[in-house]
Amino acid sequence: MYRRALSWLLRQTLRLDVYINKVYPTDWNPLYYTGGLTNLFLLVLVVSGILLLFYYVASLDGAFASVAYLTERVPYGGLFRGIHRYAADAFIVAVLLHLFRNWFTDRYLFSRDGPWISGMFLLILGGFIGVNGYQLVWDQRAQAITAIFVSMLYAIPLAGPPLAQLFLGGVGINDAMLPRILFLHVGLASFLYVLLWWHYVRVRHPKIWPPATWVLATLGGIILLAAVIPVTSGTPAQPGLKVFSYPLDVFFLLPFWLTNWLPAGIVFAALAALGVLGYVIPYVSRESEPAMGVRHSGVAQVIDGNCTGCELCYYDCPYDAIVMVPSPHAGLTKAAANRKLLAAVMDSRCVECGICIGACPFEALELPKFLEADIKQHVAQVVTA
Amino acid sequence: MGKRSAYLLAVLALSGSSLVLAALILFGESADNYNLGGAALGAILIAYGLIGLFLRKLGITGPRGAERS
Repeated sequence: MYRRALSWLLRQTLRLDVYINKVYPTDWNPLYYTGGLTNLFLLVLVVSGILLLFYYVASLDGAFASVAYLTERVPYGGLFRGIHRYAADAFIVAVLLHLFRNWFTDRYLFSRDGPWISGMFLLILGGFIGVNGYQLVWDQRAQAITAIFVSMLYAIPLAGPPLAQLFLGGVGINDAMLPRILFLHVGLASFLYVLLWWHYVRVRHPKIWPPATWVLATLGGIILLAAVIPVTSGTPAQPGLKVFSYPLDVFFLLPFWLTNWLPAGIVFAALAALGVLGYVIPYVSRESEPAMGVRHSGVAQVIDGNCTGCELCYYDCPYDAIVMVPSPHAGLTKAAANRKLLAAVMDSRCVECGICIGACPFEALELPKFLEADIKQHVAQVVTA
Repeated sequence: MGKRSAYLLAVLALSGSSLVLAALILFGESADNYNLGGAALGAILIAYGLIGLFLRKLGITGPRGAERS
């Protein structure tokens, strides 16, 4: 059932690609750059965030007034606030598109579990940082979501109350809270770049930046939105007053909206379960006996005499499993006689996919338990039958 | 009207609009109307993005001829 649903989603994803490729040049298809667009939005968030930080006062008395001053009095302050807010929404949309695309196209299995796991951390932390951003404004919405978040923390068995006290800096809402939230907002945002390093480290040729036309168009869209629909604060927070309604941002505050019907603890447990499900997807989706014996083919072996040191396999390997080393001696074939480099396979990284064999025009690589001769024989048998 | 002519016209129209938008940015700045200036800045960036796309569609930018085919 799961595999059938994923196959259907894969077909729809590829159909969408075909349609978009008719409108845009193939190498400008925005769906190929969802990761790069996320990077762009993150950079916009960091730059606009630094500018906002200059004016922000992290205290219960000063936070709302400082945001209001920034929005209404500082030249382009309101625009920068809007850019920060809409770039955050765009960041979540791009991350979700990136996640679904890689899920539907099976780009999360085997050696790609690292990027998937780091990507899940990026999504969860990105969402949490966004919620912190709403708390920093310290209007009545901030007050309401802080109260709900603290209820969620208290619902965690054993660790909940200490975590809530750590978050608040005391038993209730007090002046130590906003500096902590600001630290979480800025500190975790910086930590996202560490996670990005982990996300990219094992990906060969990652597309970390979209084409210029998409940089201009998305940046323009965010600035236009910030100017046309300016971001405003609500009523200042009044600790002690119960807040019953507040404007909802569907990209960050949906779980808080659910607490209208469900206890905060249940919503938190559901979020945690969803997170765990996200982390285990690469491992529960693996088929135990993949078709045609792929993944049981043995680590790719370099046929020393044939390797010319051309580096094609090195560039094509998506798992960074091939390195080029100085050749200790000449190859045996005419093409390999004057080589300077020799390909070497790192066993721990090879997933036995055979891409390097397709990349090599000199028959210098082979999967030991999945030889070309065997494949030809198998194909011949199938055709004859 | 062929596709090339349509793209060319679009590039010309967007270039003209960009001039107007540039003037609006200056006006917004001089009148302290930051939202107007910001909106014009956003719109001009979108126009530049579209110009880039149409130039690519026209074959003026992008991969070499041999790669295009």
